Amino acid sequence: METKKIFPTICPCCGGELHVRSLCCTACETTVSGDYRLPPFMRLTPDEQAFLLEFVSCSGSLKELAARCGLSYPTLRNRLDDLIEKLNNLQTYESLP
Amino acid sequence: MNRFLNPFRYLAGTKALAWGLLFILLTAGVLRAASMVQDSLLHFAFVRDLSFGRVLAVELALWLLPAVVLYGAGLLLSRSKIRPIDVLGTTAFAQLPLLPMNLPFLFPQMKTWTEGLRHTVLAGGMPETGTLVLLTVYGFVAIALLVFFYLWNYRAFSVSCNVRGPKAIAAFIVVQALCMLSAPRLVAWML
Repeated sequence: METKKIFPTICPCCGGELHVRSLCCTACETTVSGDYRLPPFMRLTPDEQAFLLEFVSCSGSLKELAARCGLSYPTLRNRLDDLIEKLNNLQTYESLP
Repeated sequence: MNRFLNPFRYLAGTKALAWGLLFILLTAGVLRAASMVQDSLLHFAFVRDLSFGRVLAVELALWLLPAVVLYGAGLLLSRSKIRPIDVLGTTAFAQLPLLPMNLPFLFPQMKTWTEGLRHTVLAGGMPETGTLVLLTVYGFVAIALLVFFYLWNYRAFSVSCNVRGPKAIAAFIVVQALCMLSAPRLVAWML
């Protein structure tokens, strides 16, 4: 049975931010090297990413998502607001030189 | 356990409001049957010949007063869009502990015992051991229910207004203190 790997976004040694150093084409094995910052969505926790995917799959309806998850509307709205704030901070950080 | 400590993670809006209004209605019914009225946020008194409508109006006012002020505090403190229905619904549901707190007063002996205890203590006497034990047990249960009442009211504020941490706790305490000061005047005016 294949183990599902979790994409690391935080350094397991010091807790710092991880960057991508190389990308490899699975077809021709061409390798691209550089220093690439992960996009904001990738820097969210797996739980946050799952929440956003669920939210999009409900066409952005918090009411529908609340019914699907069995949680209250304000609980989900609070979670979404926290995510929006986190994404805004990540984008602000992204725009820094 | 989580559902018990924070029911508003799972329930809010119109559903919570419907349940909350039912709890308030039942509490008013119990109070009327026991010839009592809630004359402050935390105090109940024995009264004579008070109509059910008036007892219910007082119960509704004592729920609405903090709910409206908490909504105002939420508007000031929160960065989220707050829905009044969530604040009203969750705070109404948080009135549930008041119902079991007053249920024992449906037994006429409770009135006799509590008034007897007051008179005996004021006269410098010592009440009967049995009565004292029963009222002490009731006192502990009532305190536990009161803790839940405030815990749920805080959770209601925190979830419906998306405010957390020391800022939320401080705002909640200030609102409760303000309402505790103004509630007796409101009730006196209503009665």
